[in-house]
Parts: sequence; C-alpha cells; structure tokens
Amino acid sequence: MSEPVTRRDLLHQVVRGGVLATFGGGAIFLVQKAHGQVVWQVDASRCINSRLGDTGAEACKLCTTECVVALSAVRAVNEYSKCGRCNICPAYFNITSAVDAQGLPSEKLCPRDAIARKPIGKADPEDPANNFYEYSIDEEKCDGCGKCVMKCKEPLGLGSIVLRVRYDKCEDCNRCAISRACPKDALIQVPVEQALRPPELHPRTE
Amino acid sequence: MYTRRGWIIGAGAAGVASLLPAAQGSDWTQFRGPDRNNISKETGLLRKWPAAGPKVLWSVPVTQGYAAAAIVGGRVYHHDYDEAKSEWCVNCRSLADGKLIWQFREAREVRPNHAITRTIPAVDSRFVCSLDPKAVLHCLDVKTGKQIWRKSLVTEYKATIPSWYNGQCPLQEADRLIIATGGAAIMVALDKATGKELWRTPNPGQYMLSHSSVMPAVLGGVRQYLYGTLKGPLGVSAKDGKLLWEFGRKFNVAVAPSPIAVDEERVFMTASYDAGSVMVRVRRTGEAFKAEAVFDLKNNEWNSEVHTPIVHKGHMFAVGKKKRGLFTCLSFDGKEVWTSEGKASFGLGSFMMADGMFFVLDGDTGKLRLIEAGAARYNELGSAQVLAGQEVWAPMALSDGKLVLRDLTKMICIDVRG
Repeated sequence: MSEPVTRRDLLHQVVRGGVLATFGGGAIFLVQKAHGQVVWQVDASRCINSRLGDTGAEACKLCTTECVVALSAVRAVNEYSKCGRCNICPAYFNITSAVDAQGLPSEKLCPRDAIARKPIGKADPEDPANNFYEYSIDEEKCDGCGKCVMKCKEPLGLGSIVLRVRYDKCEDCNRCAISRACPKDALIQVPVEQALRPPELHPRTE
Repeated sequence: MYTRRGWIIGAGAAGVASLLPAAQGSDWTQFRGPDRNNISKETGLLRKWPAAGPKVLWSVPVTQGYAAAAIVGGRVYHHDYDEAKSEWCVNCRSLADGKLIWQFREAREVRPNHAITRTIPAVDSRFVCSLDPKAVLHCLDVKTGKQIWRKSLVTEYKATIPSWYNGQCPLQEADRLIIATGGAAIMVALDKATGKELWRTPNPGQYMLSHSSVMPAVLGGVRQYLYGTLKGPLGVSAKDGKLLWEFGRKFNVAVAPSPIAVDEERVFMTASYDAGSVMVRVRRTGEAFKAEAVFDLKNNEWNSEVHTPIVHKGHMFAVGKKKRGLFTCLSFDGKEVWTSEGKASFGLGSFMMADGMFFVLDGDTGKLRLIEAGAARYNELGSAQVLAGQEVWAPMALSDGKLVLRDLTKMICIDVRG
C-alpha cells in the first residue's frame, strides 16, 4: 500500500514535473483527480519503441491507431535534461535520406512535421556541425506514432524522447483500447501520485 | 600445410607489417596496436583470474570521454580535456604507476556532446602524433611533450569538423603519417618529423571526413590505405596516394568503425545509424582495380556501431548491435557463426585479442570478460567487474602484461599477466 500523499506533497510534485516539461497540460488535470485513482501510462521499459535491445524494427504505431481519441492521447515528449541537442538528431532527421553539402540529411523523420528545432547556446562559426539545438515537439501535431522515440533510443540516441499518455486528452477508459492491443503490455495503470513522478525515475529496462 | 592462398595472405600481412614502424617489445603504438589489427603479441597472460579479478595497478580520473591509450617504452599516452580552462591535453604517464610525466595543453573550445574526449595518438620512439577534436594535427616530442609542428586540416585542406568532433586516429608508418582530410584531399601522407606533405589524394568526389581511421591493406598485391566514408569504402595507393578504387554505398550520419581487409581481395565495412554492413571484393586487372559487392547486410542483419572487427583465423569478431550488443563470430560470408546470446551482452563495449583470448568490455557496466579465441562457440574463461561504467566504450591497450582501459571518467591499469 502506498504512503499517504498530502495535497501539499502532490502540488510539490506537480511543480517538479512541470519543470521537466513532460506532463504538458495533463499535470493540472492530474491534481484535480482524486487521490487513490489510477491513470493509464506508457511503461517505457516495455514499449517496443523505447525499450533497449529492440533494434532495427519499424516503430510500433498501435498507440496512434488504437486510441479511441481522434488524435491519440499518447504523444511523444522530449525530456530536455536528457537530450543531447545534437546537430544531426536521428529523431529529427530521416538519417537514411540523401545528405546536403554540409552533411545534413535532407528529409525530416516526423511524418506530421511535429518536431521543431532552434539553435541554442554559443554558435561556433569554425565548427557549425557541433552547434547545439533545442528540439521541441508540437503536441497538437504529434499523434504518438513513435518513430522519433525509436530513433532516440540509446546508445546512439540518449533516450530523451518517450511516449506518454496526456491525461487531459485521455478518456480514461476502463479497458484502454491501446492496452488491449499492445503486444508488450506497455500500457499500464498507475496511481496518480506515481504518474506525477518524473519519467526518468522509471527504469528503461525490464 | 600452407595452400597457395595461405601464402598469398601471409605475404600480404607481411607487406602490411613492413609498412608500420617497428614496435619495441609489446608496445601498443597506436589505434588497434602496431599492426592496426587489434591483436596484441603479448603472451603468458592469465587464462583464469583471481576471484577478486585482476589486480588494479593504478587508477586516475579523466575527463568524460572515450579517449584511449597508446603505450610505448613503459609510458602511456592519451588525450584529455580540462573543462575549467577549455584546454585540450595530451598526457604522458608512467605505465608502472600512472603518474603524470608531462602534459601538453592547447586552448580548444569543445562542447560536450556524447562526452568530450576521443581518439588515440600514434606514438613511436621520437614523436607523439595526435589529431585533436577540431582536426588540428599535433606532433610532439615523445620525451618532453614539446610541440614540434602542428597542422590544421581545416586551414590547410578545407576540412569540415565532423559532428561530435574528430574521431580519426592517425595511421603511422616509420617515417610518415597517413591522415584523411576531406575537403581539398581525400587523404594525405605527411613527413612525421616536419609535417611536410609527401603526397595527397585529390578529392573530386567531395568526400567529407568521417569518424573512421585510415587502415593499411594489401589488395591485389598492392599496398594501399583503406578509408571508410559516408559514400562507401575506398582504397589509395600507399606509394603515391593515387585513388585505386572506390565503392559507392550509402552510409548514414557517421561512420565510426574503420574498413578492414579480411584477406587479399575483400574489404569489410560496417557502421551505425541503420547503415548495416558491406563486403566488397576488390579485383585487380593490370594496373586497374574494380570493386564489387560480395554481400550487403541491411539494417538489423548485422552491424557494429562504433568498433572495428578483429580478423582471426578466417572469421571476424566484434560486438554487434542486436540485443544490446552480442559478441559475434562472423564468417566472411556475413553469417553469424556464434554469438554471446543468452550469456552476455556488451552494449558498445570495446574488445581486443591477445594470447589466444578476447578481452571484451561490457560497455554499460564495465565488466570485463575473457573469451577463448578460435573456439567453435562462445566460451567464457572468466570475468571481472573492473570498472563501474557508464559508457565503457573506449578501446583498450596492452603492454608488458598491463591492460589500460577506462570508463567515462576513470582510467585504470590492471595486471593481466599475474
């Protein structure tokens, strides 16, 4: 049985989660839910798109196709604190596409163009290939197809992009359609207080 | 009994060896050792380790990265970085106790991205030659660390510094260095003592610097240098730098492993980012060379992400990408003969061979495993938790029974002879 969580504790955790920018508008929604309730969440250590060791396969799109919400309640989120900010991000570029004169792939990976990037930090004109970029995901465009998650996987990625259920979009179905379809049982029900923990606290492997 | 083919392979190997500077005893003079094959000539090594693992002789902190050691004349040479001062360093340490003997520093702003330090210097009895993160080649006095000459590949050859910085380790011969440059040349030969250019390979194909290193080979009876690019492997005459052959095959984003000749006519190249691997047959007709694919392994068939396979007794050995890094024996046909599946995985860990054994590091945990070479299956002789992890990806170096290895932030020396 879990430890009792006060409203103060809950708010404190929400602030932490908000800083990580991984809950979006869902954090406030969660606070409104009564303590003791459970919510659906993606277990990154089970999800084919993020679990280590599953390599080379096409991204699993069941979160996109099975969710009863028109644009799936599962979205990709980027944990900025883990992101490598690389010039050539395999989650942003289609790395198999032709390269330009600067060696950058010519195509983007996201079929909905939901990932944007902007240069950050000090630009080094002598060394443009190692400038840093901030990668942000437009959740109004993202449909949770998982392509970027698959490419962000360690070791060449840093695993900063994961799939998360957005609580303000989730219908909270008793029998989540994605959970019934997921071959890895990666859609799990977790107590509200657990859902509020930063996702990097969850292990990435089973 | 030697077949004609065996003699040709032997002669080819001897030809490659004759190109390289003579190593003192068991010196580990450069990336992949004196013969560039990642096989040490050390003998008399322990085949069974004490319960507590091999004795740790010394341990020193290093800045986050994958820069590994060369060992010459009882001294360890490795790159490092001073984050507080933004200075790139070459360190010379005693192999006996790890104490710093000299340090070369030069201001170099490097932004941490998949750590900071990389690559291995090429060292002989006179010089330490290092290519720094921003593609400046430094030649230092081996005894004092004083700079003798420097050459920026960006300034001299219009090279482009690769994403994640330079990953190339210079190839040294007795009197010269062979360096890929991109830009105005594919590769150049430089006089080791002066830095003077001896020859260059023109670059009409606009090859860019990759993270791979130039590898020596003898193909079709001709000594040459192999280089792995994003557009595929190529071979250059060791005599005058003439481009002998190139094989067009797309690789993606970055090529870290180096191409290797598995025999006198076949070249294997592998890389990461869904690129897979390719085996190329290089045929010589008169003075002309022609390259054609023998097999092409697509993404998730087999590839190595960052390390170059070891060729031993008609097979290739390396940590593959699948299932978190299986140590794999691969045939020259590209078939998996055996793997470590069910027994061990190695992430992006490095490996080397010595005294009939493979030393293989778990790139995630720092566990070192000793595996019998030449066995018909994965046969582990022992293991020890020598490092704590993480990202134990740097190559190892072995000299005088002392194995120098590192994880992200610590370099250690262990006694593997006992």
